[in-house]
Amino acid sequence: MILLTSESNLEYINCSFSANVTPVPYIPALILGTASPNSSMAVSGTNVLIPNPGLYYCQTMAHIGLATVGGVALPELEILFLLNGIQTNKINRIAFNSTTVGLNKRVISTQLFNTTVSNSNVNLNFVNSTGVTNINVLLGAYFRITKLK
Amino acid sequence: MIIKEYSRSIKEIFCNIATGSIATPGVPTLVQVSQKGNLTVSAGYIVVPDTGLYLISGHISVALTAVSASTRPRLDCFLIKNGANDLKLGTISWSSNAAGLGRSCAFTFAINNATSGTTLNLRLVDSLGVPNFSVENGVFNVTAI
Repeated sequence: MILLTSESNLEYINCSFSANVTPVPYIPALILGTASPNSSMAVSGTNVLIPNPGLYYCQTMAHIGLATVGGVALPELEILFLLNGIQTNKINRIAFNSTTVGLNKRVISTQLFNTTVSNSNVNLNFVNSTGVTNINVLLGAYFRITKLK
Repeated sequence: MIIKEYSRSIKEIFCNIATGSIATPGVPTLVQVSQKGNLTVSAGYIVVPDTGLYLISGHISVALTAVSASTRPRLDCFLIKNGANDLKLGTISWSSNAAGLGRSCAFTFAINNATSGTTLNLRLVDSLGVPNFSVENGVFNVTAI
């Protein structure tokens, strides 16, 4: 008998971002939504903890609003992907037409990442690129990681 | 009992898209950030030597510098595969022609690479009068799945 084993087994984890009004750069606190029954992933501190090496698929929806605004007339915010605390990828950018408080934008991003070491951690970082001094991470933003291989 | 362990080799390449003003739409310059396996950047294109399934993800952010006659400028973003437009990834559009307005186009899709040596990049196409714009940032990543 040949038994082919897969490391995947539908492992996934869903997280929400905590709503917050805060100066950037900002690494959001993640709140565990759901995880598959056999998922080895968990939320630890502000990060998703990934015990096992492998190939992972990451989906992010970030809904960002302007709270109070200073700086330039066309605020921008960059969304960076952090793997083990290191910025590995810039996954999107949110640009606003004006500084009107209450303006909000939504972006959806998808990417893959490989980890070759155990106990990796993953999160996002919102970075002020041209003068967004205060943002509001609205409820409904999510972060989902699924193990592929 | 024979248990065949699953093993794989990592093949991925992360590239930044070079920033700066562009007078006419065209093919952006890719700047390699990190790479594992045999995916490379050559002559401005990502080269995928092996057949197989790949996932491509990224985004490109563009701002208006000087504005055309169009009051609602628009750029189409295409995947270029082996030098030809293969897939429209999205459209970057503006509701105003004010200089400095930035917009992004994010994309994710899979390709089944049937031939070796395939080349990949993006192309921005002026569909409605955007003669001057600036690529503010962007990434273009390819990962074997």
